[in-house]
Amino acid sequence: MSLAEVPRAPLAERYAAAVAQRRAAQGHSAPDETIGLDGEIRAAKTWEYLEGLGTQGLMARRREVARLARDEGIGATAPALGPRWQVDPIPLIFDQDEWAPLAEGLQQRARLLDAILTDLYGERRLLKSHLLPAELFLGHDGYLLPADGVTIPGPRQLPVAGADIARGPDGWVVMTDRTQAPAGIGYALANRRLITRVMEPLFRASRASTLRGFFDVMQHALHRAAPPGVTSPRIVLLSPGPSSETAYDQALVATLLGHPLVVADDLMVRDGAVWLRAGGRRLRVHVIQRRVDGDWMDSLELRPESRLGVPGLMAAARRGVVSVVNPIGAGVVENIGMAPYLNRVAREVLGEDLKLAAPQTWWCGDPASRSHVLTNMERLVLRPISRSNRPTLRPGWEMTAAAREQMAAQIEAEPWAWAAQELIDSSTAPVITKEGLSPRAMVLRTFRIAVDDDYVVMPGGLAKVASNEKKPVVQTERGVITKDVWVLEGAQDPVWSFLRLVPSEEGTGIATMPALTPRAAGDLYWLGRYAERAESTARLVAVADNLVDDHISRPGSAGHTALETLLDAVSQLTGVTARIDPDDRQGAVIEQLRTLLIDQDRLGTVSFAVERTTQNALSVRELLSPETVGILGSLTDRLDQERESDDLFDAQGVSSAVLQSCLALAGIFGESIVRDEIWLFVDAGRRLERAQAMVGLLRHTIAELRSPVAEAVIVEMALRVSDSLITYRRRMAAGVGSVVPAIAALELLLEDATNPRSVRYQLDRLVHHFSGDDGAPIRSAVEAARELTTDVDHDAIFTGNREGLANLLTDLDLRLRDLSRTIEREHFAPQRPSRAFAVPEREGTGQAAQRWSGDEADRPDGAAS
Amino acid sequence: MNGLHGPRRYSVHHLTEYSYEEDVTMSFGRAMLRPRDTPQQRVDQHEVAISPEPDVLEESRDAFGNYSHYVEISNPHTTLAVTKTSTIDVEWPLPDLGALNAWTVAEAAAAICADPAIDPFERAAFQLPSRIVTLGETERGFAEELLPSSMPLGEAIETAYRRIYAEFTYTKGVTSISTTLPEVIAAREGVCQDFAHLAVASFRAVGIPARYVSGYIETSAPAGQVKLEGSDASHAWASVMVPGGGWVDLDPTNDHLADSRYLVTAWGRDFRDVSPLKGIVFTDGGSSKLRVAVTVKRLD
Repeated sequence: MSLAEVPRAPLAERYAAAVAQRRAAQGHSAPDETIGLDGEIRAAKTWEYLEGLGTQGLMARRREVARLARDEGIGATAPALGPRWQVDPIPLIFDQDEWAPLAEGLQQRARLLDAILTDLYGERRLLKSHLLPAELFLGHDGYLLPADGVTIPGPRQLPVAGADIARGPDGWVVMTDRTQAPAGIGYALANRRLITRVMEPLFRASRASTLRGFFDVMQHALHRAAPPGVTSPRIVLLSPGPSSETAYDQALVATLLGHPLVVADDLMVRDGAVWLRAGGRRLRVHVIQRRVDGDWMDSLELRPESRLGVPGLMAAARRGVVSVVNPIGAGVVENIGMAPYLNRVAREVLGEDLKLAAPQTWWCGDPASRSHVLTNMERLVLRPISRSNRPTLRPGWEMTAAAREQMAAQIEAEPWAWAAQELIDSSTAPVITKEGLSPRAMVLRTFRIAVDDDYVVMPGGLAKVASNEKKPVVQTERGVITKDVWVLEGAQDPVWSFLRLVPSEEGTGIATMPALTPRAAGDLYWLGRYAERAESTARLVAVADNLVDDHISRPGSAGHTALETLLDAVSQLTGVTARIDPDDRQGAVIEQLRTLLIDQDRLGTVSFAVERTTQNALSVRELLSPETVGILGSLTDRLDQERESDDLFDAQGVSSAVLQSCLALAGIFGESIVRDEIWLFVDAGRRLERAQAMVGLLRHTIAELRSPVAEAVIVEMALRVSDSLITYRRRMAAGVGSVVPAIAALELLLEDATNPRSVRYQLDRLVHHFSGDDGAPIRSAVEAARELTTDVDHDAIFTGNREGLANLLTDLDLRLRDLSRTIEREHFAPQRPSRAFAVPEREGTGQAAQRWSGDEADRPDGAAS
Repeated sequence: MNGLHGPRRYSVHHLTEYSYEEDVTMSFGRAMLRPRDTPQQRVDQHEVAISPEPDVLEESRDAFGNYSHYVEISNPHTTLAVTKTSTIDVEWPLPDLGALNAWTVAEAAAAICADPAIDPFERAAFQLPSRIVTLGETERGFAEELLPSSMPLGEAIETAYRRIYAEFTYTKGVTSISTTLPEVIAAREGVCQDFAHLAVASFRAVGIPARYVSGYIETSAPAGQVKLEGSDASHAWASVMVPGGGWVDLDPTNDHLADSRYLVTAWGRDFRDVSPLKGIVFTDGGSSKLRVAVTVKRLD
């Protein structure tokens, strides 16, 4: 190859070729975001930077971004660390010339949807004047008539509006509006944080608008939505739960805005108002930013089977004492069937032509449109008007003749529920792959928030690209890769630089500490307990593994007896059987220890405890440092690898990896967080778990009389498991404490208030934690346990078969269990179970009450996305 | 028959009582406690008594103009009693079914659809299927056989109440709130609520808006017996939109059109919009018992 043939810009030229090839293969001319139709390279500066990195450098950045996303737990939901969040490092870049007209179109469309929404729950003038067909809404399951006449303060009823837009050959079009409870503002910010780290020089050179200000806009909008006269509103973000698909997004938004992230059980209605349950108190809630679909928000007036909302909420909203954002019922304008009518509504309502339209759309409720759809089905994308009817995109050309026939029958039966659209050849954007850059169909999620009378558009968004090159459209339900979106700064200052939050009367405003809900307190407590359980089980396994190496082949020796005792203790404490095979095969014991470490499906194992710790951490991630989730994510990875590995199992290696992670977690909680309620509940869980584990260990080791030689080894082993062996030896050498090893060990592990591993120490900490006015029931439960560790009469309990000791430890165990129940009852108790009833119209008397049951298929959750 | 359509005055006393095995610590209710005025009736007086005393009792109007009440009770209780008492003047003239025969079912559907004077919201609300009034193949098949498109409208209305009455057995306890229309059609039995839904579905399926009406009917004691206090019932029937936007009420449970013995509480797309009393209770469990006693007394 001569020098002249080496491409000057190999990446860009190869990408241009790939784009051309894709266009040829698909027989159309979809635009590309970086390569013009004539093959001309746009955004030369960006390409220059990409060329400098080369495929190798780009792949390295892709891996780095994936690692960072994993450490952040983006895309992860409880109960598992879920599917990975996929981010392509190459941002989508807009300059102001391109962005400004698009933003204008988005603003106008938000104003229009707001006007329609306001009208539908108010005067219904648009229906009465036949500007919009009524069937389009009454046939949409998002039109919630119990919300009729309910409004929030301010000029706009649609505070937050999302839209998925795509660029076709003729410009930008709206694929879907998101008005229910738009997700993704948090994801957009998360992507920005990742991409600015791995593409730092490009970002610095580009001067893209920051996104942080958009959160001030959101804060402002939420405050403005507060009921009249409330200057310092309490705002909460209502989530369907930690296993919702967009849990990370919810947590990040809640954290950035400083609002408690709550679930249904954390809220209640009393005296016609909404309250947040926090400890023993209840706090008025003025604004609920919801991530639960409207129909699930109140089982009294909406879906009776819902457990995701708050009974009585709709009535509270109607009275105007709480504002729900977006208002319940806003999902009705997520309605693709409106498309053919929007231009004339825009002219009528706004006096303007529609600037940003959908692709050509036919609503099947209109007879002429219906017949067009039925005769052209194979070249149209069939779309239900409501997103609850899935899938939401059904390309006619992908259907078999039989499927099309079935589709036609469905349309004939419920024509109002269907629309169809021309396929848009949506633009492509480059995605990094091993083979170089690949052009992928792209759609852009944009966001607007109402500020007073107008809408502010987020200068950026969340780009979603198809998971393979062949797909002509992006179908979110089938997995996507995301991209960061950069809007280069213009001459004007962004709108939010003028925003000022209304200061509160007390001057505290939103800076007040978010209250800890019972659910969050419970998750933190169990986070502490499971983290401690993972640690103590790992210690047991590590010591057992050592003993196996040293003693398994010498039956009858003291060491062998100690091993048997320890394995028995392990079985008792974890519920996972560990014992010496009659043939003393080392392999069998090692296999059991392996199970104890990495079998995540069995109760009592280390992996099980790690998974529970992770779940609890993810449930309250908005309260924790990102490092917490990162440490647990890495540990989970390590355990996953070990589970899949064929290499010889290394129990010491795995248990020490677990111990290191546990110590790192303990370090974060010990040294890096303020001593507030968050810390308190985690620590309380840890203390109680440690006390119980210690009592269990003592019961199954020294509470039984053995030969002095065996006992000496067993005592040492118990002390090693408890990380107290060195102290013990020093004391023995100095003649401090009892000369009987078992008694000395008991002193150190049960009674010694200065040993951070002793039962006494844990109980002292618990008394301290619950020293407040409302801690009396817990303190008395702690005292009941603590008195058993005080003035222990060693002579009495160590006589005979040590029955006295066994009884003491059994009693102590019972009292610790009682203490845990007391803490749970006082702080984490859920509300009583609720159920729905309706009096049927039945003649006569004495019939049984009817309960709603199974009359509708339960969705896994009413999570908005 | 003229007397049945002349003016009458009634008092209605309606007690609904729930007894719970375990304490209910919180109770939220939504109820239709105040009858609405209609072209045929005027509500002269109405009173509501609830025990235990509610923390909140609030009246509002729903999207169809019915009165709806929010009830919140935090006082722990094992019995919830809701009593409503109204005095209502009714005069419900006999509709001219003969005149309605000017349209066939199909023509009536087309005329209603094309009439710009009819409120599109109301028309669509009562024409499309709803959660209980489903319009699947079974329901459509039933409707098309019952109300052929060429049948004159007046005749169709009469056919609907006649045939449902004749072909379905009135049986208490075979259906529940979660019984579906295809199940009712298959079993050929049910109670007023089921028959009202079935009539509503039949008209909607052939393109004519129809609504579910909740209210009361005066009953007389079986021959030779004295009418007992509380032996009346809350009742449900169907109402059909006719060309011009008027409504004709029919009662398939009792085989006739509505008359001055019918007292309307509320109307909606189906039972769910207008259930007389529904709620959410917070309780640790246990069963509950419902007692309903209705007395409809003629005052003139």
